[in-house]
Amino acid sequence: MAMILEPERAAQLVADRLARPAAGGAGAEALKKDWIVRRTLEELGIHCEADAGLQDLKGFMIASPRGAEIVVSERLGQDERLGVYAHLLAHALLEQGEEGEEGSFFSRLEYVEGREPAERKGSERKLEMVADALAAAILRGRLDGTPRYAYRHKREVGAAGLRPRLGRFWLELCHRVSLMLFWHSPKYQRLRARREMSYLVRRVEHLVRTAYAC
Amino acid sequence: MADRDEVQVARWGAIRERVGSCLRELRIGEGVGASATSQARLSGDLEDLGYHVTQSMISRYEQGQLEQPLTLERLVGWALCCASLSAPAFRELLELAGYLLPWSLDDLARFDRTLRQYRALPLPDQIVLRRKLLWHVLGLEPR
Repeated sequence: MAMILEPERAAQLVADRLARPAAGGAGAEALKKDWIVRRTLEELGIHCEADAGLQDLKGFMIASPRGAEIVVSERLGQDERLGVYAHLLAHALLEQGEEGEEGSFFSRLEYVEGREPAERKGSERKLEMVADALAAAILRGRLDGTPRYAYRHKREVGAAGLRPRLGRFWLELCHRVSLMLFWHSPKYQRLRARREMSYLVRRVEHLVRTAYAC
Repeated sequence: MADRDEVQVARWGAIRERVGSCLRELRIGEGVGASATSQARLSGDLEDLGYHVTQSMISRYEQGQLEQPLTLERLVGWALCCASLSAPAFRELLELAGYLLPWSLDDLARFDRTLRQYRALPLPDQIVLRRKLLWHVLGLEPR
């Protein structure tokens, strides 16, 4: 039985919808964003609810063949709630394996600041750092401000032949190096988040695709 | 008309010792990263889940002495409280109960990891999370 969760699609759709400008003031915008994100997640079959009982948790996500759901604390403000949704999606994306393979069960707990488990491994702290960057990109509505392989796992299949294959090889190499830097360097994360950088990446990719017909 | 379901009683009689030893294995925790749960704690945790199983019942179940069959919900509740879904004893237990959980070992290990995180949470968070976890294993709303 497959798990009912499509983190790639969810993250992309949420980011796309958040990228659209909202009418009204800042408060109305936060309210609207919260509604848009919840609505989008529900549309993708991820049940969302708020619970007043949560104390040390801001929220959590569970996905299995029985369904996918996000529960957030009722005490959170709209911005915090948005942050929790984005962070949970970021973790679902990061914990999805290569080529989009996944198990039947995924869960993630989001703790209130200062209530996290005391002993966290280095790998967990790094995962958290990358998830922060990815969540910020989702909330900005600019997933292209992160390396492609951070949010898209499936390999592309294109034209046959040596030249297109070589082109795809170069692109894959660049995306992988970018992903590796993204995992290890907060400086690179900030650089990659800039609009100019996204534009540059798009231009280079376009040039490679044209040159190698891939 | 018979007062008892003879087939069920006979079936339980045939498997209860094996079920008992599996339950004990789950509680003692022989899997990777597993830890032992005391009978008193397990009894309290099962009570929190909505299942009345006293400490002495736990002891008698483990010895295969109780005549009353343990329901599927309680078996799974037991494993949840011991964070032992990935233990071989849990698979054997479900086989004995005639229930197939279509999850891989990795999934069950992930579930156990969640259960260990869940244990470290304060009670109000545990209550919210536990309702959801039981649903994801059995598709049952706890009482």
